[in-house]
Amino acid sequence: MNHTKLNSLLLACCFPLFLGAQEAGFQPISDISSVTRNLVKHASATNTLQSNFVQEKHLNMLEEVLTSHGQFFFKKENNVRWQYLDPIKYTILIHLGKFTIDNDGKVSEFNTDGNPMFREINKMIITAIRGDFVGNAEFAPVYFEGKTQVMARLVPIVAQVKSMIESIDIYFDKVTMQVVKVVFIEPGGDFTSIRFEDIQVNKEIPDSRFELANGK
Amino acid sequence: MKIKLAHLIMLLGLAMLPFSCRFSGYTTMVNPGSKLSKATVFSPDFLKALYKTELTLHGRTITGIIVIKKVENGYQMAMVSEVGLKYFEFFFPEGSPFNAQAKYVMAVLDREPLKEALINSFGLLFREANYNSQTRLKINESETKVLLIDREKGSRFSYYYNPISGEVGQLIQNRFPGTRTSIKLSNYKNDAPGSILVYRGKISINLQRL
Repeated sequence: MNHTKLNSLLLACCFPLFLGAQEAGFQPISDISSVTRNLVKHASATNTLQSNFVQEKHLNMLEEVLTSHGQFFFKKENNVRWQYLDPIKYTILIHLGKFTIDNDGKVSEFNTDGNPMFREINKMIITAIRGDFVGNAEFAPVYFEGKTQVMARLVPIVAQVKSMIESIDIYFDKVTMQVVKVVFIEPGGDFTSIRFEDIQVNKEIPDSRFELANGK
Repeated sequence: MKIKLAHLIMLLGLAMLPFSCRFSGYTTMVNPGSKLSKATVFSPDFLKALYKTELTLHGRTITGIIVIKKVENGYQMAMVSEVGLKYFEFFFPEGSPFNAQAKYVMAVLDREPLKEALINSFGLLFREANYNSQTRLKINESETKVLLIDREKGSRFSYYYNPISGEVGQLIQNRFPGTRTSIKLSNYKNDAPGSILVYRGKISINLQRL
């Protein structure tokens, strides 16, 4: 492939990203090293995170948005409690290499190492929330900035993730570098937006929060 | 020879037993009249519904929410996981729901036998019962339930429904040869059932309206 064709292909691939970012008032960032430095600094200083969240599912076939509410807890290194409270009761726990799902009382356990799909979902959740993707070879990040936020668009490289997710847009507050919103864009244009509210950083979270028996 | 013939008659009798028992308590409706409602799963004014869903495929279960929406020429259906990922989306054309189009199926589920099983299971839900000269109508002793049997393309369809409201309580598709599909419906809320339980071979689907 000659340089002209390669450049055209790159331009064609980047154009939708650039256009999408422009529509939201975001512009590509020229000094990427400064942003990535800040992200790495923030990720390494974040030991715990807890917040409420509002999840909105946008389906092309439906005018209405499917909205769910819940709570989120994270504790270094890989402990996650992702709890939906309304309209359905559904909890995902990631703790000690295990992926546990409590579906309104029905509990299932999966070993994240032995189950490639859950391993990828586990990675996606932690990567998106911690902003811990700098230097991660599984995603190709592109950075944009708006007035008050920075947006990192992660394009998956692994085929299995790519078949489920076209890109993950992570929005950070420019000052605190906190993740405020994550948008999962699927092949075909449907997308899920998760907005974090009442974020508390480095507040003590007991390990029992990541176990069903005590933290239910 | 006499013994063999007796055995044959006995075997034939045993073979017929399930068919004779299936409709026991139902008698043929001679003149159904105009008061008999048509079998209905989704009422004509149905627009859309959300169902909390548990789908078990060969022993493995996936859960999430199913959205069913009435569109101009059919029904759109999509299932999304609790975390928002879409598993599949189908379009079921009105009048020929078994010719559904798979608009999207997640790569790990994108297998022909699985798609066919999902289309046949949900297609039965969107199929309209035929009322023609081939249709058989039976009613139970208390006249609270009608059994409609019609045939189409090698399948026999049975609808057990309320003669006044038209609400279908059970739907069965038998194919010879082929997999039997059975759907139990209950808790109707005006325009659609509140509970839908689908059984087809090694697939079971439990939908509870939200």
